[in-house]
Amino acid sequence: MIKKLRIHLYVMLLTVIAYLVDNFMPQAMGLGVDTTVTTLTEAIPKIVATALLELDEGDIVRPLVSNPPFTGVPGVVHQTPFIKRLTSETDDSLTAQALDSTTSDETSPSEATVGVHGAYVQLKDIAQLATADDMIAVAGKLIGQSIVVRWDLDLITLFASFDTNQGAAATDITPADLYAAYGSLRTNKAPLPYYLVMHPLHIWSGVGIITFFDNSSDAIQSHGLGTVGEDFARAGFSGMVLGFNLIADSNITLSNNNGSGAAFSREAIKYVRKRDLQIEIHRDAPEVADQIVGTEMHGEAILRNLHGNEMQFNTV
Amino acid sequence: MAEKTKKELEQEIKDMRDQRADFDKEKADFKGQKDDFDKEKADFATKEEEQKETLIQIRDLGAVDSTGKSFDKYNQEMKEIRSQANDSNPSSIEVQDFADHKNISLWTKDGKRIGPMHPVNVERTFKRNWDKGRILSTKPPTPEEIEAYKKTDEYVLAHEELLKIREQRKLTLKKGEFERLTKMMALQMGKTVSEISAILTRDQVKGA
Repeated sequence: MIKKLRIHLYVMLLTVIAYLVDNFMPQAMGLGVDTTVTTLTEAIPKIVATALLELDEGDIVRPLVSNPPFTGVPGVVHQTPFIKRLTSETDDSLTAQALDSTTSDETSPSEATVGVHGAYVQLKDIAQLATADDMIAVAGKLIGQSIVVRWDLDLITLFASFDTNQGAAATDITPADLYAAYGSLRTNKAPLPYYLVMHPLHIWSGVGIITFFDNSSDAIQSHGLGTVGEDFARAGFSGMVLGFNLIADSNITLSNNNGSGAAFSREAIKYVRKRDLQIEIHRDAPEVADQIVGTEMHGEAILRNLHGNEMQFNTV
Repeated sequence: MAEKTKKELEQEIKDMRDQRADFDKEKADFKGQKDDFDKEKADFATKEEEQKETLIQIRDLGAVDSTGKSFDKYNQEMKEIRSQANDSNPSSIEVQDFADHKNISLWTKDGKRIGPMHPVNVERTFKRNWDKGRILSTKPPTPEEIEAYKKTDEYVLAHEELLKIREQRKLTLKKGEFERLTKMMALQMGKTVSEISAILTRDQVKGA
């Protein structure tokens, strides 16, 4: 009996010891205590990844327009005169006709004045030393991006100055607008290819060009998608639409959900470059900084007004 | 045991009654104390609630507490520190666009913007439109000027022409085809559109 009692007591003692060891010893030794962020915050370093630059729309319109050479020649105004065409005589009168530049279809001459455009970054030494990225390289990227966007914007802002506008404020695009634009360019003898540069929402929206091909109530197809519709349905894009090479450019400014793209041929606009992009770095000791300057010189102008149509439509 | 006398019994009863009375008195006192305690407890709870409400007011309404601290004051001083610190911010990276000319916009009378463009392009655009009888301006029209222009004959005629063109171009869309068809049928039959396209209810159908 006493022996059984001793065994029971011994087992109880072991249980108590096990309980104590399990629950209190870790805390006494500092083990098994939940770590919290506040106790380790100072020891955890912040890892800074390489910075991402905000994206810009690139050089969309410049490759589509006329680019006459202007580097290495004197002058800052690039002039293109127009000479009126001769008329074939229908009788024997054979009247003398002058080579006349003042009565052509277009305003003669077309003048593009070159201007200096640039971007300037003042990069302080303390910023360079404190950041994980190579800030000189980042500054160079920022300058390059801003100048490329400037090329595109200077060309896009000419779209609204075309005399012919196939759309208007508060107007949704229809297939007939593209027929009319094509007809206008062809009537004025604009050579192919024809480009249609529109804001992305002019193409992909509830009132956009894509609705012409999706067999909805706005579609031009009666049954099935058609091959252009299949391109839109499969890839979300079609390279050519109703005779135009379709190009999206988000640099087109919208106002009240309305914006102006353009349908044009290559000679509608000219872009002349006097000097390409040049980057210079200059030390500014009093400011304890480096000055990084990127510049380039270009000009642009409407060349043949009749070879372009403004396309002003809604995006919503 | 000797029998107790009447007097002793009466005395015992009297003692017991006195004890009972003392006991009742003690009981009443205890109840009184308990009531006081409950009242104190309720007062304490009320005070705690009031204090919580006051703290919430201090936090939410910017009320100033007795030390003069308030969230408004805190935010104001932090803003002032930051605005003064901006003058000597060592880690800012300035990026500035520049050009040797200023781009200018032209505005039509109905508020459409053309540009901004290089000044030479602006002059050419202005001259070209002037020759065609369209007057542009370097100043944007005010809403009142736009409203006034929309009442002029020039705008009304141009707008009517535009609407005719839009009506014609909308024919290339399938949308509205049924409405155009019913309109045409109504015109030919000398009836209204609602008469042509009315769908009768069950009650209106004769013989149903």
